[in-house]
Amino acid sequence: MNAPQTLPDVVLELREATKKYGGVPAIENVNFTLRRGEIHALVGENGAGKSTLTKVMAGVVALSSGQILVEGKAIEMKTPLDARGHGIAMVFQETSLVPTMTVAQNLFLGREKFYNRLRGVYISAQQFLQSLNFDVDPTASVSLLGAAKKQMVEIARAVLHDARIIIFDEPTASLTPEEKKYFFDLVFNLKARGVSVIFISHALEEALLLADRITVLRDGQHVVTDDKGNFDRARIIQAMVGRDLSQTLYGQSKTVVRKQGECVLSVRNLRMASMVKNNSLSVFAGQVTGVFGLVGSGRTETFKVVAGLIKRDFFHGGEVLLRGKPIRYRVARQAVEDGIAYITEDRKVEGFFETMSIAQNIYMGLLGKLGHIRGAVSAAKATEVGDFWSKLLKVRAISHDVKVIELSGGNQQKVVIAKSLVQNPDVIIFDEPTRGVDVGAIAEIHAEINRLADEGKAVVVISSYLPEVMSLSDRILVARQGKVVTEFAADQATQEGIMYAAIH
Amino acid sequence: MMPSYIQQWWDRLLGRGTAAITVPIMDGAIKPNRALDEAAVVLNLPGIDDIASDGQRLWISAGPVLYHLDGQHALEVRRFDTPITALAADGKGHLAVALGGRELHLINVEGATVTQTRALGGRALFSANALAFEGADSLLVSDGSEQFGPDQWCHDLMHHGKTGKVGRWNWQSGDSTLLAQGLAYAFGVLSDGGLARWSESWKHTLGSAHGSAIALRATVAELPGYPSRMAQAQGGGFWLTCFVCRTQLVEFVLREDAFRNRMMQEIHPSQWVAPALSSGKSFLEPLQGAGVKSMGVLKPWAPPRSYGLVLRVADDGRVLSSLHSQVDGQHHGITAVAEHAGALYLVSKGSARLLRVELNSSGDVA
Repeated sequence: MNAPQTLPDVVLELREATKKYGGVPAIENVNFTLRRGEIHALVGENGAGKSTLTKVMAGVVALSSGQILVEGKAIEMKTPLDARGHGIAMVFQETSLVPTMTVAQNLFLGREKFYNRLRGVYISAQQFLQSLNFDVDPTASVSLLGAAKKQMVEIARAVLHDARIIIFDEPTASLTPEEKKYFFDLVFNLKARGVSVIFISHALEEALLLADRITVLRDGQHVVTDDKGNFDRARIIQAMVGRDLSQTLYGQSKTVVRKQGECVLSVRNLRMASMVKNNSLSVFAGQVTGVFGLVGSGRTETFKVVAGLIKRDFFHGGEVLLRGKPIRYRVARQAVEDGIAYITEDRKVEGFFETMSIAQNIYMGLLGKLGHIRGAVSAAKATEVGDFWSKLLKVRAISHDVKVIELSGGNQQKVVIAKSLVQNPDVIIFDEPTRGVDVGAIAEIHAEINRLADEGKAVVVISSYLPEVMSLSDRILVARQGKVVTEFAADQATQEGIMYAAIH
Repeated sequence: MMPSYIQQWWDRLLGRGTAAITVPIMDGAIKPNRALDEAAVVLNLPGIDDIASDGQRLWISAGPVLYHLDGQHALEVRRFDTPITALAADGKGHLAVALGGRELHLINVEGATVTQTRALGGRALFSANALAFEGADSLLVSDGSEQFGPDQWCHDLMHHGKTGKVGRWNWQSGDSTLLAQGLAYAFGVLSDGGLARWSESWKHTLGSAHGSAIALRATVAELPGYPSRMAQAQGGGFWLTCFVCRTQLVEFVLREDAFRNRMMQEIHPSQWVAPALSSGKSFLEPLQGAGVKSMGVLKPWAPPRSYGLVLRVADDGRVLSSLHSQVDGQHHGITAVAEHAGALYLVSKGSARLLRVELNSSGDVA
């Protein structure tokens, strides 16, 4: 191996970094440098590889190929402990603090002495927090702290552990505007202390405000790294979404839009905890309504409320109307009876029974609709239904008895779709219908979605993948921070316009 | 089933059912645009309220004066003693006007009165606000309220008025019949191929009846605005104006009786937390969330205190398309619409303007 050459002020460098999951690259040949005392923003669409890249740096996942250099020296990093040894700490979106312990106890967790005097721990914690200008009570229980204060404790713990590089994953996603301002001050404070900071953010204004340099990733590949001054919002968005459309299965926006039918579903001023904030939208028969938004925009939660999977706020939670009639489901079965099908984004957890066969899984969908339970379960009926839907959706398997867990992602997804479609719903909500699905199956799933809309069904497609939303949808709703903020007619939508609406 | 008063108490506690402070979203075919703000301004006419086309001329009412449009000018036809509150033309040499909300006059194109009435179905007219000719000898009439005059529609809304009525006046025989009564502000009528349609503003719905039969189920319901006058669309269906739009704040005020009553007692009507035909003219007006300036820009995408909205509605009640003037626009308070000479004419009472929008061969906005 050649002796690595690197710039003297570069504290962390990745060369040709590649990480593959099951042969599929999450990041591929990514080159990245982090300078001393620098704030570096990582931006990109969902699935661009930001999280994988930072997890590699933090030792959470190991590289498939490529090199990591710290202070110019090539190192092996296999665990977070290795990373910590090299002064790298990562602050995750979900904090790793122990909620039942105090701030001070969390700070010194893992660094306890043989004999610990609680008062001494509190005094040390108080001094340390004050040295960072963090206004946090060391004796407070972590469970009682707000999101920003928890972030502070995480940061303080990273600094206490002599972290010279701190990585933040979506640090401001759960913060209020005031807390965000506080957080920005903290980051500048860290920079002043010579700490290098990497942060992932979907909010471009934060990247432009905080960062010294910005790196854009797309589809697991490095697109551009440049000084903040050379970027503006338009250039970042262009870099984020500017994939070569000719290389994708889809990506052209629609030129022929289906006519709007009856307003089947109307969501009015829906509220659900902090995830859905006064959200309103309509879904029409005979159309595909695409819903785009970044993670945390409240898309999934809104439709899970519609489908009775989660409940809206108890007080003033808003209204959901199905064909003009208010609905409020206690259990999902009631939604199924009313003709609403929600096809989950997480098929392995919520989508199928992994040890059952294809036919049994599809038949379970039919049994889920109360009207079809007539006392006995029919194996013959299960085979008949399974065969019909397997042929219709082109489910490929060695035999019908094969367990669903043994199928490819695309075929698993088809089974999950069949399990809902067998209920003959009128409103079909697809949540990330092609996530983790092979290219061939994507086209078949899209064809099924279009067939349903052509039949006059009201179809909703929630997707984080812009080309998918644009090629399928007759109208595109863009969600941001818990509500739909704008609507595009499919023939007038552009990737840049949608992304701009999703971020600003 | 819970008794209704317990249900009401429960709904009010939880903000559900009838106490849900929600409004329908403007999306799909009602997605906001700037079509009304981009419309050509034909003329500025203080007090302009209603228009009607007889195929030859476009008739205009503004205050007590009846005009017809001559190019870019309004030519005075007749001046009445009281304001004209509704106008219709039948294309056979007759016009109908409502005066002060209390009288209906059938007049000829020279402006001379042929016949008149002051009652509908044996009940006195109080707030006649829309007229439509039906067949050779009948006139559909909407009377908004029996408590408040045409200019006091906001008072009727704030009092939860339910005294509106719709009827048919046969001006040949002098007979009149009621088609519906006890309406939450009737404002707009349309004769649509044997079907009589009317707007029930405070219920955000359109009602209809065949011949003299009793009213049918609402054909257009749950609109985002308060529907008002209508006009036939040559390309099929009809045009429906929504003279003001719904907001969550107004919905809230309408459910808070104590607050509303005190507001009406203590505050001038122009400054009530209530919809208006135009807004933004005084700093004393109540601001609403949607109308607040953010970063120096008045947010344009949500319905404010006043708004401009016209819907093209299919015969089956589906909304096909819409024209808007958003919060930062000028052409708010659209009270009348009529197709004339291949174009759509609209009255923006909020800005006192007559607007013109070109139509294409299929009758859609070009």
